[in-house]
Amino acid sequence: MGSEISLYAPDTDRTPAALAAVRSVFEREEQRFSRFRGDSELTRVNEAAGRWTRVSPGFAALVTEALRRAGATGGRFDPAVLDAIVAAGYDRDFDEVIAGARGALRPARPCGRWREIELLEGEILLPDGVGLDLGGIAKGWTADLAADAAVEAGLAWALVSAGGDLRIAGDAPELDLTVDDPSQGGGALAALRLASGALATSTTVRRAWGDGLHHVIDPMTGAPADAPLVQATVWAPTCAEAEVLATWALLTGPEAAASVPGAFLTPEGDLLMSFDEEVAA
Amino acid sequence: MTVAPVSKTTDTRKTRWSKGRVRAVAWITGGATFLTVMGVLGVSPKPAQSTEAARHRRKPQRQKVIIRHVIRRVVIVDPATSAPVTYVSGGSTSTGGTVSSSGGSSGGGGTTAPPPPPPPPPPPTSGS
Repeated sequence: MGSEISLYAPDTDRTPAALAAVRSVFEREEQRFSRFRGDSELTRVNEAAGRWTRVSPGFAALVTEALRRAGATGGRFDPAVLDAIVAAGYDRDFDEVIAGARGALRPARPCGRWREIELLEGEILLPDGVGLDLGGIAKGWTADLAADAAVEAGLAWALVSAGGDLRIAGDAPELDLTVDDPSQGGGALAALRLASGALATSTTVRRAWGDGLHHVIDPMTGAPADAPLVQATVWAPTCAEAEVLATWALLTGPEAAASVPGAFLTPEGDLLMSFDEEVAA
Repeated sequence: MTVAPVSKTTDTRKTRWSKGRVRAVAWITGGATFLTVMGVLGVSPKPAQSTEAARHRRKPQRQKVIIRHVIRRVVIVDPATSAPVTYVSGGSTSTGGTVSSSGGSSGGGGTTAPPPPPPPPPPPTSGS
């Protein structure tokens, strides 16, 4: 998934088993949802666009969730932006994109064809020319599964961090976390404290490969978003939901702070916080 | 009266150069040597460049780099839905490292997590 995966948990005799469970979950879901692997289930589904294709229950579950979230956000979160992100130049693993100094490959065109995707009794139908890119939501989904797996392996609680998106499972104490400044060499933007749920962050500053070229696609235009926020960090009960809301908030702008709990950095340097505030002693 | 020519003795000692002359010759010689070496290096064949090195020398388009943000102000907003999260204002992050949230595949950024709590002390053992 192109991300560093970390497990934070009590150090007990169950920890090695929990670590193995987390690793296993990420390997399984990577095999399912990576668009950069020729043998992944996602690649097979995308290549079969235009005809009904049998999918695994896990694949169907995430696509169902993704389509539901697309409807809830009015299409601002769109899982069918594969063509758009490839057109912008992100057609291979991100490290290769950077090394090759890619520009946009072809002009952008609006997305929105997620509405035409059908799922029925274990089979999926993508319209011709439509491809799924489940990158962010798949990462959050996998973090959720992995945190639960770590607790099922015997830990009292676990925090799984995947590329900075994180999920807490079990009966955790209050944990201290920071929201990173996305700028070069930045430190912490804010200090948070929480014991449950998930945090996910979306920004146009990282995973960028050129002027105006980054991987957060605005489905309305099909081009990398000219986002009204620099960064959006959102809390939600699950990491998959937090991922969707972080992207939605980034594209929505400062008014998102009134709708979802999070930390939102404006281009002018204001940090909008819709969390309870505790003044440090 | 005969005047015999005074016999002339040949001075066989080497002529001593003045310090200034020695210094000047040293500078000229050294400079000439340096220029000769640089010239030789300049015309010598270069080692073959690897494809990788050549590719990196074709400098990629510069990425936009945002200098560290200076937070002008923190605005606390009441959200429509509450969350069990507290923003700790006025203090730095806890010691010992914290987990950070930074965007990853959705765009980088992220949150940083705390270190796990220390393990419980081992149970006392009876003396042998």
